[in-house]
Amino acid sequence: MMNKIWGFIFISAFVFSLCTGNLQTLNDAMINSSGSAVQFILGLAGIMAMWSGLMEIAEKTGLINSLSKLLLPFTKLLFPQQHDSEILSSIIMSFMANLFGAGNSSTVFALRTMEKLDVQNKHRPRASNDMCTFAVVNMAIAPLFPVVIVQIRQLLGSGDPYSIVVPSIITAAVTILVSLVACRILERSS
Amino acid sequence: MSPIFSAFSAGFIPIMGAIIIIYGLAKGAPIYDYFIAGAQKGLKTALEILPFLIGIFLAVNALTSCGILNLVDKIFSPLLGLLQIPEELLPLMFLRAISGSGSLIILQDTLAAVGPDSYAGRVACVMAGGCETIIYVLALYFGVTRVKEMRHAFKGGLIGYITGIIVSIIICRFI
Repeated sequence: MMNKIWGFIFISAFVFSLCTGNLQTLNDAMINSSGSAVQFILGLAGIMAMWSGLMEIAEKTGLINSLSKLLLPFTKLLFPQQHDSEILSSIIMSFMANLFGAGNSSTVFALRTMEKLDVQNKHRPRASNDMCTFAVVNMAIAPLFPVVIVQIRQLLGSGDPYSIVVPSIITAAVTILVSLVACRILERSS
Repeated sequence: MSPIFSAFSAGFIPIMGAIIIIYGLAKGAPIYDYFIAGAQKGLKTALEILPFLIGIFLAVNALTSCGILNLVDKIFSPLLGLLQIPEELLPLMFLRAISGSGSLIILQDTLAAVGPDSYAGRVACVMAGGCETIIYVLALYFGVTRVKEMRHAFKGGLIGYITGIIVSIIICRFI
């Protein structure tokens, strides 16, 4: 799948640049993007190390396990076939980090969850149902309070910068529900 | 309500850290050793996802720099006119799916053009607040796994994204 998407994006950019005589811009973009990816990961690496360290403590001391027992009824609803308590709590942590708008930290939780699901999937090349559901639902979850957007609104002189908070939450809630149902239906045929 | 959310966002990391460390200390666990072991794993993951990030940054930057999105906008704007959706929202609709940081810049431009309190401005904010970037997330998430075939993850993500766009357009008519 990624092969096709990636190839398609790149080739359409190339053909379009060629037609509009914009190859120089594309050239600059390509050179800069590799550098900015490395810079981005350098920024992320520190946070990743910190969270992974803290989560290691939480896992080894059994905190994660007790937490997952507490939230079990909820996760069972989303992932009825998942019985591994460590994975379930990892999923919950990702969702919570995402809800609280922890930014890069929530990415770290999500990546850890995917790694664990991959181990459970025995590193098969085919994604498991739970991998897809987790990825899709986590994508749909938006921060409860979109700090940056409220800031931008304030900056641009909005009369009521907070007016979009509740609509955003409702939008995300509907999206989460639809994504979940979509996964349930799609997983039967794919 | 909003100050509470702000405090939650700001306090998430320190509070989580404090809970984990206090719990560890109470159990008498070698928390520092655990932390170092975990941090090592985290750095390894960061290095592992780097190639995927370079790949995705390359594609996204190529797409946004070449101006093809302007063409896409031109193609879709008559359709939006029919549905009575402000056409100023088009760049954001497409870019939000592709790039997170890029779409914030577009949001700023859109808001500056239409005003943050106009209908189009509010929809833009809700869109940016309620929808996530699909391609980047998928590349990253599946990058740490050995999965070659992500099955319905892309379709599911796309359905969720389109739902988010539609809901944000509808909901702002009422609020």
